[in-house]
Amino acid sequence: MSVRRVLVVDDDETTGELLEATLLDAGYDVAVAAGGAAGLELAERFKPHLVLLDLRMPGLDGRAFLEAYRRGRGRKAAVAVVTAVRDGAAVAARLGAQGVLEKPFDLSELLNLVARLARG
Amino acid sequence: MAGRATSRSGRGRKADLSADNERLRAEIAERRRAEALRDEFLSIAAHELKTPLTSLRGFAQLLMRQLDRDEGLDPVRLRQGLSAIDQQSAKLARLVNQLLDVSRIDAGRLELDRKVADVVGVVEDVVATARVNTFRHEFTVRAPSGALALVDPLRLEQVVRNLVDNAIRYSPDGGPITIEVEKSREAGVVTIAVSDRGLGVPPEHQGRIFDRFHQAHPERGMGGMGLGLYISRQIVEMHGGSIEPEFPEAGGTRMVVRLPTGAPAGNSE
Repeated sequence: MSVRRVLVVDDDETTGELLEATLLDAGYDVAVAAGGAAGLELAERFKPHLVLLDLRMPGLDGRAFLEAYRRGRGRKAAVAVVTAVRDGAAVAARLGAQGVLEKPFDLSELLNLVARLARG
Repeated sequence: MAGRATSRSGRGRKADLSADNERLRAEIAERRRAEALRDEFLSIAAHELKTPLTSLRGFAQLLMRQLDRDEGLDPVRLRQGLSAIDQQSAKLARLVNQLLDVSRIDAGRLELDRKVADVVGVVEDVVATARVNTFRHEFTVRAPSGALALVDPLRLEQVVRNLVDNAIRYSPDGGPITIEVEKSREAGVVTIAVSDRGLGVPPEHQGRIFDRFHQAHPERGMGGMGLGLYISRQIVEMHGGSIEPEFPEAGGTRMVVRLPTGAPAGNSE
């Protein structure tokens, strides 16, 4: 199987660094965008197999990103929401995301989720 | 007669009962409001604490994973991980301190440890730290050589740091940040003004910036618990001072703190 590509869309710099370092370490190809608009642009070029998406971001937030991303042309990656809200699973379900990672998460949870959803 | 008397006292009892009911209803409504506020408080606090906690835990686990491998740890990665852990623990400590301050304010237990201190020195210390943490902002301090006042220097530093942090946070594209200190010996007042040319505060939020949990730009997801200005105002008012926002036409925000100099009456040049 070719190297799987994961796009991280998160405005919190440290969370972005953590996800990037962990996934690179596990052999994934990773791109990080610090906001929804940058995420949409990067998704065009990077063509991810999975998007890890923060919900609360300046400008285009996670919900708006998801709507715009789904409206766009081309094959769509699976999306997992990474969130600190109390009912993260319910929010992810409402948005139609394929997965959810609730903060603070264990790295094994992150890697299991990514392995499951980034299959392509 | 007896019948009339009974009827009158019956009406009186009814009126008493009705007043009791009204009081109970008000108490229940008040209790519900307090519970809703507490729930909101816990929800926001938990959300804000989880983000640095995630990074702390994540980077610690990542370093352990790398350490367990045969090739050992790359020093660059080790530094990146430890630096993230260091910064996120500091952030967590700041958030916890804010929560403790709010709890102390609510219980009326926030106390000042006043001593004669140089307000200019406090401002310069805060600006020196801020300069290290941002490259996009230009700081200018306009101040006399000294301005003594009877204040709690640690609490005053907290107020000035909060105002400077807000000026940085709400000018995301960088720009000038000016801190002016003035003293009026006659009035016995020291004024500290922190100005930025950032996003400013939208008119609909201007009256609420000192409210607990209020964020001037919630749509921008700038983080924080919306407690900084609430706590700052309490601290300034405990000193007998005031804190007022100004919204210049040119944009940005100017926060002006006025503090009585207290006993020393500005006796320093």
